[in-house]
Amino acid sequence: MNIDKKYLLLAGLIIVLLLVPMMVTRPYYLHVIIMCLLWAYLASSWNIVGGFAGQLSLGHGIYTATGAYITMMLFNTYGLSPWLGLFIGGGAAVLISVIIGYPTFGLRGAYYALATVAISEGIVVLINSTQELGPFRVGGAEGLIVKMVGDSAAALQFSSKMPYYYIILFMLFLVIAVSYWIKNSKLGYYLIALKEDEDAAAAMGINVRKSKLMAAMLSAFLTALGGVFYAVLIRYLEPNAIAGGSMSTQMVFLSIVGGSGTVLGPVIGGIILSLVSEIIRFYLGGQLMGLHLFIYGMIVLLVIIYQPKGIIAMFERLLQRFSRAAYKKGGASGVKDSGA
Amino acid sequence: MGFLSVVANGLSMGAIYGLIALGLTLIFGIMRIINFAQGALLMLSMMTSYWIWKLTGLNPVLLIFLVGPIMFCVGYLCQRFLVKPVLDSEKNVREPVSVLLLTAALAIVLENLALMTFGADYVMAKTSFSDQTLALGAVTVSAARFYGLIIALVVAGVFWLFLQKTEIGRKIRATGQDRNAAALMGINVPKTFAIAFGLGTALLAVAAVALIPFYYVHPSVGQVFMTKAFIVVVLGGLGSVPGAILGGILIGMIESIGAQYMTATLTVVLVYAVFLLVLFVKPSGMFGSRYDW
Amino acid sequence: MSRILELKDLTIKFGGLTAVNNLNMHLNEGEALGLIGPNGAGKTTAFNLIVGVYQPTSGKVVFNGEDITGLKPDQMCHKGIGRTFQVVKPFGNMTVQQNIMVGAFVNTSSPKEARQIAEGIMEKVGLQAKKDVLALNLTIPERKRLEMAKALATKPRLLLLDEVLAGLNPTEIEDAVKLIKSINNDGITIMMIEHVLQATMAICGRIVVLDYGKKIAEGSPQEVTSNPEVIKAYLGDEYDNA
Repeated sequence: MNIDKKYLLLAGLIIVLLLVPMMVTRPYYLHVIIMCLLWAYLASSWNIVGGFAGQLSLGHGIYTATGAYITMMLFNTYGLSPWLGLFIGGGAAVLISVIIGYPTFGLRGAYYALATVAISEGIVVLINSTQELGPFRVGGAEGLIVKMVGDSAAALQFSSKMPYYYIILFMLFLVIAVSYWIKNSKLGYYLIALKEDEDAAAAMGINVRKSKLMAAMLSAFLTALGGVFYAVLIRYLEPNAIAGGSMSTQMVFLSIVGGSGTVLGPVIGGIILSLVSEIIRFYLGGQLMGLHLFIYGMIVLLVIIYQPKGIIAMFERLLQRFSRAAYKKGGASGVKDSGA
Repeated sequence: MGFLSVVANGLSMGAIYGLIALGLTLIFGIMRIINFAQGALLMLSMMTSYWIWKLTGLNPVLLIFLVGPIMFCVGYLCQRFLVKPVLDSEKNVREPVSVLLLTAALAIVLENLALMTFGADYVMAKTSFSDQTLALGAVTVSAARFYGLIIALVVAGVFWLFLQKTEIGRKIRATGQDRNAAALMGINVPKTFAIAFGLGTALLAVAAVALIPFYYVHPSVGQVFMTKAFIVVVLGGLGSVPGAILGGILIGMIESIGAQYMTATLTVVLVYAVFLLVLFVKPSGMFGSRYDW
Repeated sequence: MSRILELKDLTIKFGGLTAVNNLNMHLNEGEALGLIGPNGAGKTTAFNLIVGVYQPTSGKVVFNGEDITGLKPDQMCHKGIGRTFQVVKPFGNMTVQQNIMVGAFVNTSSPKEARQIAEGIMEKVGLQAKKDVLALNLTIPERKRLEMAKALATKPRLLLLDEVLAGLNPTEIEDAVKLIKSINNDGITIMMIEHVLQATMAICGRIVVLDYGKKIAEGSPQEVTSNPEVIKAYLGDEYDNA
């Protein structure tokens, strides 16, 4: 039966994913895979507000930075385990998302986009010029080094890459599950409705601003977690890398190219594009500065003009051709055609 | 530096901000799209101006007549081939998000292209007047900035006259007010859009020429101006020409005066704080229309 | 019979134009009222004032004895006022069922319940056959029915219909009239803006006529159509003596 086959395939995929670290022994390769998964995770987190709610945040680096810096500052100074610190970092991210979103979600989308850009630039500037903040060492432009405490699960520091792989894999499953849940929930329906027509949505009882804020808050929290992971993995925070334009735009691009507004689009976009970027870096040795962003940008331009629904739309068409049963994309995305 | 000199400097930077914002607000006013590539196009203008200057040593005023048309063509083509197809596909959507994204992606492409081609070096067009200062009564100003101010104000004035008095100017304004009515009156709307976009970028060329004698050019110079131009546009009101100039001058003054009493960092934060304040209190800005968004 | 809606001295000015001028009218619970008048009379503007799209310059809107003037559209919906749009606004990329579910969510948070409510509504308006069709693929009469279905899903006590018969052929109008009457019979108060006068007379027990933002007549369909002021408003002075 068709349904059983699908679950079998899924189970097989999960088993393969769980076994990856056993099969991939070279730390460099495993690191690349971990980074791919991290980007898939970040793209998916962005997608909750950028794709589902259709609000173009061009400064999501704010949240990765908030999660990373707050958690690590607390860890370095007070030894607070990141497992606990992430709630504080995440909470701060949520608060910031509300400060940005509350005034702008009632206005044109460009105001929100602009506010995210301005705030993220502001944060980079602030961090760059702050060496100390009260009892905390911030590090300014030289960056913040995470205190090394050796192998410790409580500190999320491991000498082998394997635990990191499982953590990010779990996080990716989490964000996929959250995305899937949103899509099929009241919030998901509301977000699609307001993306289609805000006036009609309001006439049907939808508090547009509140729905957008909920998506933004959720996205901010999850993105902050991604920042925390980055911090414990790389153990060095540099303001531009973690909060700057490069981080923010990549999250957007990966999601758009993969297919924003879908559950798996950002995952696919994240994995494929980071692999491409890594291969480029490997063969060109990082000689040409700006090459990989240039290529990302070109790909995004092409996608927006010629294939706005993203890579995942192409995959789906292929799948539709192979299976006659109506392919369910899940819940409120509405890809049930009138005929096929 | 005397207080008046600080004000004068703020005025000249502000006028240039206003010019950049003018392009932005024009594009929004006519096409209802926010051009996120404005900063990158400014950088392109600056690079182009710099290299032409380097090769020919031309006087800046003449440079304008060369770089202006070049950038106009760049803008025209960008609109025609990149923006238009996406805009058309989002005709019925209230919020063309894809166009925003398109221009943002374009910005990234341009910036990184410049980075790859020219490297991250900072360059400046050291003209004969770059290091000069002028004494105007009690005020001492940098010559380069002063000329920048004059150029910006003159061009802004000419541009306003152009919009008000010429045939094309009227067509542009009509299309901006009601594109369907304009089409019914025989105006070629797509062409008008492309012209408006081209003008928006041509204004950048002027701002670029005004800047290169005293401002460093490098691939990410656009980002700084971009955000400021936006803040100016929000402050002045989306779609308002006087708002852009006045808003620009206001921001320029805040920066210049702020720099006397605060660190550079805090000045930046101050400007962003002003922006957030405007958003909370009166998002339509000084001259913007309440129903426009 | 209690008054479900009252408009007291309702006025709105757009700059120099007074679109609605001291409008005083009421709706009794359970009735069907027709709001007619020449183009530009201010009918849709009055609707928009009632549902909160516009803020009145002065005057009050009282719903069920509660002053709801100035509430936002989504709050109005929660109070029990549903409306359709003159130019229909379906959620194009969602199916018919999903469109209606959006409305159903006003009264539940469970997608399953919303789906059930939507099933019921689809049966009522006769769209079950198209339940999995994307809204952008519907025909005009189907879109009009979807528009009503969406509003019905929010379980309104008062339903404002804005020219739902426009663009329909006589058979489609007949079906629509049957549907509207049945909705009214279910206990939902109806106020409809309409230009198709015969159908309006068939549904509505009472008519209010607007011209230049002012109420110029009110009464039963017979009273209103023989009112000289009304004839003048629609046809001009020369026909006054017709």
